[in-house]
Amino acid sequence: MVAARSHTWSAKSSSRLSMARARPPAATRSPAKGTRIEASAVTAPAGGPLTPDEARRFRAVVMPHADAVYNLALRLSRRPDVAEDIVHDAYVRALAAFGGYRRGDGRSWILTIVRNRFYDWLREQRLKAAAPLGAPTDDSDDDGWDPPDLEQDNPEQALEKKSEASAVHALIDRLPPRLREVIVLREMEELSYREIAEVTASPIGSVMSRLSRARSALAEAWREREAEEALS
Amino acid sequence: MTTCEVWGDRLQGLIDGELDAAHAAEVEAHLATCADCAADYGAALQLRGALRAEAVYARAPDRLLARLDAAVSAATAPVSLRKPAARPRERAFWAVGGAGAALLACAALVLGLVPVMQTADLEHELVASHVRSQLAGHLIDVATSNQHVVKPWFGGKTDFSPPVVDLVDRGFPIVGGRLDYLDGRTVAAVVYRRGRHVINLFIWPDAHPLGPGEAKPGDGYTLLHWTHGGMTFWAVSDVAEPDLETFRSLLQARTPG
Repeated sequence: MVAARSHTWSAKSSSRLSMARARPPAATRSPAKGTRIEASAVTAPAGGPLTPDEARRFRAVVMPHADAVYNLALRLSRRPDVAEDIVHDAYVRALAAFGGYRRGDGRSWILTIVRNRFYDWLREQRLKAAAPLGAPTDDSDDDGWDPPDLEQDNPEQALEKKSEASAVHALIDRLPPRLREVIVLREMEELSYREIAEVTASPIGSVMSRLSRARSALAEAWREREAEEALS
Repeated sequence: MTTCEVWGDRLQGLIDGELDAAHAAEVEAHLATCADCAADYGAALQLRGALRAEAVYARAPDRLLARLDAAVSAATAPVSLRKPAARPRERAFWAVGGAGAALLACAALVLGLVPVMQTADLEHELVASHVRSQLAGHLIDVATSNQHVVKPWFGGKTDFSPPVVDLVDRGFPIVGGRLDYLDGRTVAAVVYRRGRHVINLFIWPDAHPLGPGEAKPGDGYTLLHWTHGGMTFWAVSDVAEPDLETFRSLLQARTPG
């Protein structure tokens, strides 16, 4: 009887969790071009509860991007616990604003929201860390303040991590947040310049120059790592 | 991307597939003649390979997916699953008791007595949630033995404030709290321990209390249900039934009504 119960649960759970994991192989993904995100849809105040129909649409349009959203949140915040809370918070906001969201690319939309939630969190951290008041803020083309990365006290230690994936994470995590976000959106999500510009609320020129800086920094760090590996 | 200033932007455009065919051909022709740009181009592609490795991409943990799913459900206008008219029947069903209930449940399946199955479904979900909570990593979202941490943690996540009562002095320490999704709504689950056994205490406000507490032993799990101060409580555990009764009476005595 207990076994039967567990069995029933797993059947249920698989249908409940079937929403995610919709990331097709990189080669087959083609980012939707030119869909404009209405800023009002992102910041719209909470509406009423969703109708069952809207909930179905939300599950179909927004839910499949949970991995993309989490990946961005994790690379930005560099902390799994914070990333989960930021993603959850972003989805709660997206649900509240979903009544005002009509069309467009659901991925860009939810990525925009989670990115904004990250910078909200970052602002709180900066206040807590009592960073200088004149510290650069969002709309400038600077690299932005970044809280200390707890897992990386020194770069050498980070580079010694065993797996290739965590070495790549360490390299990304050493970039400033504004470079981290463009590299994740371009290389991992394969967004176009225009889409990145929309998600990051930046001019395309800034997107390109940040991407170029991020690549130079990563390529150099990558070369250093290879050189060290060759020595050891 | 610093070696060949004139070509930097166009080279990047090529790497990112943002050039039209004519410009792409132009940059490719340049690559054939400029070792610096060719090296940059190669480095960028190598970097891309490293960044796109499957293991580098972080997938949302199941725990997070369940939270998101619960958030969608919580934000959806409720569809009434349990018709009020069905309640007297449900109670009659439970009055029959353990073994008879199982028989009746089978009969209900055959006869298609849907209302009878609905309370059974809830009980079923409670046990399933208890079992699931003991699978790796899902037991608790907030891990603390401090009731003053658990309660505010629920504060931002549920639309009600579940009472969180400390019973460590009576041998039921709190392990933590968790959000769960039961009976069409988000509920609070406070996790206690009794020796090596886990007790899941599910709490949610209930406008239609099911009546006085009732124990439903069987299948290795004991379910205990009661209402107090406008909240519905379900305790699910594999501890002995008397232990769960003790747990219930201690909780009731200490819960502000």
